[in-house]
Amino acid sequence: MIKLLLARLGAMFAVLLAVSVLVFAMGSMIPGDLTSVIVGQEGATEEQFAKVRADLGLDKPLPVQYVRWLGNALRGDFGTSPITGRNVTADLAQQIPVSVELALLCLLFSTVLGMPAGILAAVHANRRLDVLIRSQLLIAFSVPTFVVGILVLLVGSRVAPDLFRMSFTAWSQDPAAHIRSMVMPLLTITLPITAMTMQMTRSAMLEVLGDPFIVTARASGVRLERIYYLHALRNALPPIITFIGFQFGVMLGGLIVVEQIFSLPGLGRGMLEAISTRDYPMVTATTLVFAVSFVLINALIDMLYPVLDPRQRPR
Amino acid sequence: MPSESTKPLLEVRGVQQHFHIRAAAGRPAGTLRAVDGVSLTLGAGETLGVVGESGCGKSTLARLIVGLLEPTAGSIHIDGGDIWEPGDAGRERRRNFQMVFQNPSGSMNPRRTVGASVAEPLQARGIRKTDDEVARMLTLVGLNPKMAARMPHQMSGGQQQRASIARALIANPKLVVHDEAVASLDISLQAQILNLLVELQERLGTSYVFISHDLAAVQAISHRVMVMYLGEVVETATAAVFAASPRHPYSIALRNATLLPDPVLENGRSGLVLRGDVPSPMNPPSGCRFRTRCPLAEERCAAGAPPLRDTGGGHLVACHFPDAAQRLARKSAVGTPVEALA
Amino acid sequence: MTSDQATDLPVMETTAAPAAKAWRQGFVADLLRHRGGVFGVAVMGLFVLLAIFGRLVVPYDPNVGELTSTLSGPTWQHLFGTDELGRDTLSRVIDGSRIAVIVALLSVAIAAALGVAIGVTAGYFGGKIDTVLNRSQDVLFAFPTLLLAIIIVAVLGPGLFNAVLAIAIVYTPRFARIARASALSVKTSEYLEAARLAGVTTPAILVRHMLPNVMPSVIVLAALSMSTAQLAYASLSFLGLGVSPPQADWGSMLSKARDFITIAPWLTVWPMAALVALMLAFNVLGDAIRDVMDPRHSSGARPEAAL
Repeated sequence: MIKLLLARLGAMFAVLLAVSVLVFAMGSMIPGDLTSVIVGQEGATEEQFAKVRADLGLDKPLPVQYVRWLGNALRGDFGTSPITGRNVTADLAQQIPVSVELALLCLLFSTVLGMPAGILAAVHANRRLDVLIRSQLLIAFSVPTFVVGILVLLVGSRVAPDLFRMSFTAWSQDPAAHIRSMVMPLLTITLPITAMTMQMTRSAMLEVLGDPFIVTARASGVRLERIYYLHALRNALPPIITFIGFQFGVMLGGLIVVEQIFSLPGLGRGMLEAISTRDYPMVTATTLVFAVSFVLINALIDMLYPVLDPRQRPR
Repeated sequence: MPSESTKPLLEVRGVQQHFHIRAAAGRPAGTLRAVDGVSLTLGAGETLGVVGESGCGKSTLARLIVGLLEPTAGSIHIDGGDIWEPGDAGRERRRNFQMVFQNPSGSMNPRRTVGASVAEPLQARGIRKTDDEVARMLTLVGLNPKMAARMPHQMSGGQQQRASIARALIANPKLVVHDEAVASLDISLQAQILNLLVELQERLGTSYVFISHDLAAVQAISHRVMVMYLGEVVETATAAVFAASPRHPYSIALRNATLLPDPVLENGRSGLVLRGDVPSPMNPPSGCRFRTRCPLAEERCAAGAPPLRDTGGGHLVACHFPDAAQRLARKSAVGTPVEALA
Repeated sequence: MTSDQATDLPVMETTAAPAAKAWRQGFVADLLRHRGGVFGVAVMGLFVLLAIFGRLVVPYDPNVGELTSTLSGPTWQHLFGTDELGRDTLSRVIDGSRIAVIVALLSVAIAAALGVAIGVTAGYFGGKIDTVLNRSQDVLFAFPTLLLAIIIVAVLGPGLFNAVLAIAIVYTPRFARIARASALSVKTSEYLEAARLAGVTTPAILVRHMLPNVMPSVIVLAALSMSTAQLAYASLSFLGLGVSPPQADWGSMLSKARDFITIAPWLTVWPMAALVALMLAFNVLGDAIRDVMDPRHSSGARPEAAL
C-alpha cells in the first residue's frame, strides 16, 4: 500500500508542477505592460524602459522567466506589486489567515451540522422530517452564494443591526468583535455547503442502508443504533470524505464572493482587487495559492481513500 | 449460375488479423489472433458460405474481405489486383465490395430516411440524382418505393433488412459480404430473405460471401462452404459434398447440431455432440486447435497442426485423420452420443 | 401501376422536408403538453420579449437619472423605486434582462459548439488525439466553476464578452464529455461502417452521421445548463467582472445596492427577484426539454449550481 500512496504523491507533484506552469503562462498573458506602469507615463526614454525590463527579468525568454519565478515562489518570494508598491508575500501573509479561518470554520460547521442532519434524513427517509428537509435543500442548492449573502444582509440589517454594522476586526485587536464580525460571512458561506453535505450524507447513507448486509445485521438482531452508526456510517464514510474534496472547490468560489460582500481582507478579495487593477504579480500569486491548495486537498483526500475503504487497497 | 472463368474474382491469400491487446486490470497483454492465415477463392456470381461458432473470426474475416480492416499479414485481391495497393488504385478496388449487417435496425442511421441511407453509396461517388435508382432498387428487393420517405424505425425488421440489401447492391458491387444477415430475423422471414438473395444473385451476377453460425442457412444458398475454427479454416468443400460427407470432426459436430428435416438422414448420423466453450483466441491450443474438444485427439494432434490438404475435387480438410468421419461413426456405433471433451 | 409510379416520384423529393418539419412540430407540441413546459415557455417568452423589446417599453431611460429623486422608494411613478443616481429601478431591471438572457444563451451556445467539436473529434479519431483532448478537458473539469471563471477573466480582462467566453470555457468540458460519449457509440454502429464502406468521405461522415446523432444529448445538456450559466454570470458581474457601467446589469446592481441596503432595500429586492425568476424559468424549461427529448433520463444531470 505504501507504493500506492507514493504513486499518488508523485502524481500530485506532477500536477502541481503543471499547475505552476499554467498559472505562470496565464500571468504572462495579462495585457498591460508592467514596465510602463513602473516607469511612468511621461517622457520615459528607451534606456529607462530597457533598464526596468532587465531589472524585472522580462528581457529573458519565457522558460527562463518561469524557472526564476518558480524558484522565487518556492522560497516564498513573489516580488513587489507595481500597483500597490507593497511586497506581495507580505500581503499574502496577511490575507491567507483570514481566508483559512473562514474556510476551516465553514468546513467544521457544515460537517457538524450537515452530517447528522443527513443521517437523520436518511434514517427517517421519506417521512415528514425528511421531506421537509429535502424541500429546503432544493432551494439552498439552486441559489448562488452572493444571493444568500444579500439575503443575509437584508435580514441581518433588520433583525440584528449590531452584527450588520460590524466591519472586520482582527482577533488580535478584539476577540469578541472579531467573532461578531465573522458571524454573517460564516452564515453565508456555510448555508449552501451544509445543504450539500446533508444531501450527500443522506444519499450515501441511503445507499448503504439498502445493502443486503444491513438486512442481515437486522435479522441477526443487532440493535438499530449500532447498525446505523457503526456499520452504515463506516461504509458511507468514503464517498462522504471524497465529497469534501469536491466541496472544497465549491467553497473556494464561495470564499471569494463572501469576502467581497462583507469586505473581509482575505485572499479572495485580494485576488479580485489584483484583477481589476491588472496587478500581475499579485494575480499570479493569489491564483497559485488557490490552485495549489485545491490540488493539495484533493490529493490528500485521494490518498486517504484507500485508508478508509479497504476495497480500494491493492491486493 | 457460377461462371467458369479461369481467374477467380476474389482471392484471399494467407490473411492474418492480429490485435494487440494492452494489459489491463486482471489481464496480461497479449495478441488476439482473430484471423490466423486464411486463404480462399471465389468466382463471379458464386456464393461462399462461411460457418463457425462465435469467436472463430468470421466477422473479422468479413471486414477484412470488404476492406474495412487492413490485414496484419497476407493480401486480398479482386480481379487480380491487391485491394490495399496504396493510393487511388487500392481505393477504387475497395469500392467493389459491400456488406449487409446483422442487425437490421442498427445498420441504418436512425435519423435519416431510408431513401437517404440507400442512396448513400451512390452519393459517395458524386451521383446527385439518386431517386430513380433508389426506387428501382427498393422495388427489386420487394419494397414499395414509397418507403424511401420513411424512417428506419417505421419499418419492420424484415423490411429494414431488405432496405439494407438494396443499399448494398445499389452501386453494383462485385461482391457482397453478408455478416449474419438473417440471424436476427424470424424463421419465415429468413427463408424469404435467403430466396431474395439467390434471386438477386441470378439477376445481377454478384458474388456473395455468406457468413453465419447457422449451417442450414449456409447450405441453403452457398455453392461452396468453408468452416472456420479459432481463426483458421478447417474444411472447405462444395455445398453438395459438404452436406453428404463432411470430413472434419468439427464440421461433423456442427452438422449434427443442425436438425435435418429428413428423419432417415437424421438418424443415420453419428451422435457426436460438442460440449464446452471455444478456447480463447488469445491463447489457442498448440498443434491442432480443435484437439481440446475432439474425441479423436491423440498425441500427434498436440505435437503439430494439421495442414489444409486437398482430399480430392477441391475438398480441403485440416485433420490428421483422413478417415475421421468413419472413426466417429464407429465410436458411436451403438447409437449413444459421443461427447467431445470440454 | 405505372401511373402510380409516375406520380409518386416527385413526392419523394419533397417528403424529406415534411418529415423534418413534422418532427419539429411534434417536439414543440410535446413541449407544450408538458406541465412545466407551458410555464417555462411562457416565462422565458416574457423575458426574451423584454430582452428584445425592453428598450422600447421602459418607462424611463435606464441609464439616465434624475438627481432630484435619488433613492426614493416605490411610488406610482417609479414602481420599483430609484437608485442612488436617480435612475428608475424598473427600467434598469428590464434592461438588465437583455444582458442576462443573452449571456446565458450565448455562453451555452459557445460551450456547446466547442464541446461538440472537441468531443466528436476525440471520439471519432481516437488514439493520441483522444488522449490529449481528454486530458485537457479533465484538467478544466476538475476545477471549481466560479474559481476557474474568475481566473479566465483575470487573464482576459473584465468585460461582457470576456465573461461570456470565460463561462463558455468553463462549461465546454461537460459538453465535450457528452459529445464524445455519443460519438463513440455512433462510431461503433453498423451504419457508420456501412457509410465508410460506401466510400463516404470523413467530413461527410462527421456532418451527416455524427452530428445528428450527437445533437440530442447536447441539446438536453444545453437546456439544463442555461440556468446555472445565468447564475455564473450574475456572480461574475456581482464581483465586478462583468459588463462595465453604466449598463444595467443585475449582478452589478446588487453589488451597488449593498451600500444602501438599510435605506433602500428595494434596490436589492427587485434585481434579486428578477434573477430568481429567470433562473426558475430556465430550470423549468430545461427540465421540460429534457423530459421531452429523453423520457428515460436519470435524474440529476444538471451541472452543479455556480456558487
